[in-house]
Amino acid sequence: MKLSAIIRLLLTFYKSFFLFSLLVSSACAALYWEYGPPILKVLIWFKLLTQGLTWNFIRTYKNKEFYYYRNLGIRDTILWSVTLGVDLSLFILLLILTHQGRP
Amino acid sequence: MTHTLIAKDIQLTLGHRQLLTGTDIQCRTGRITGLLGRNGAGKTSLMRIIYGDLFCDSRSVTIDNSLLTRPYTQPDRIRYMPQFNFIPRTLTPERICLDFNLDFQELENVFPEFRTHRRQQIQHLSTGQRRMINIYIISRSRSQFIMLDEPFTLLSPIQIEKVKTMLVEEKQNKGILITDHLHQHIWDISDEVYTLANGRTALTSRPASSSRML
Repeated sequence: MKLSAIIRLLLTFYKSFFLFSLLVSSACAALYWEYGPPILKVLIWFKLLTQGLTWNFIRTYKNKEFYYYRNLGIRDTILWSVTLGVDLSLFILLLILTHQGRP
Repeated sequence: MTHTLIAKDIQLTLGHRQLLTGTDIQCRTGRITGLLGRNGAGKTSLMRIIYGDLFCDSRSVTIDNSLLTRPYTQPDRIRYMPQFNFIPRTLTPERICLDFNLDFQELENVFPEFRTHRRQQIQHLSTGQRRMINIYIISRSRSQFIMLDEPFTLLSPIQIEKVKTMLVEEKQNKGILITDHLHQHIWDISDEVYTLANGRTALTSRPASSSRML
């Protein structure tokens, strides 16, 4: 399978929880803007916790859709590791940008 | 080229109940293999064990004598259509065909009703139409073997006839393992039929009246 097709499938999977994830990351960025570095550790743990909840929710309520990706040769572990990795990277990027923009 | 899938010595225990006790089944290119059994007999479990996404006590699944440890990672060898819709509901028929490397025009030729649904999310299609796409993509995709779990359920008689025609055409390129409660259709298209009862499979000959639903 071509790389572009794999990326397209990974994006489709990521879209299933992107909005919730963006909401959490934005809330964290807003809190960081307000309270600064002392709250960083709490925000990271909060983000990881919500990622865990997302994983559990999708596995429970959208588990049928995993057969779609399996039938295209994409394993569950690849789906999760790539999308959660990208999601965490976006979260960190958002925090860095917020840090740089703080007065 | 002819391929042979052999699943043997499959054992599965659920709680205190031994569901499958040394089950064997064989499937070959150019043949449709039917699997019949009552509700709860273990047909779906057997397919999922062959596919590799259900853990069991013992299993041996080979294609051309090559052992498959995780068949679900090898769609060129085997694909599985579960008994429910497995396609993400926001995808369109056009996009689904693209993912499976299939030509949408061919889908339209087989099922003209999709002409007006090319870019419509499948969540807005009827249950029967969704089922048709599920069956189509698995059946038409390039793979040595496919397993279809209850493909005829939720389809109209006309749709069932189209699916049967398609499967008979497709068996030229692959081996097909199929199960359904609508026995008449299984008998109509199968080259051999196994019955699963008491945890074991047995090759069965067609009864005088096979339209009864188990």
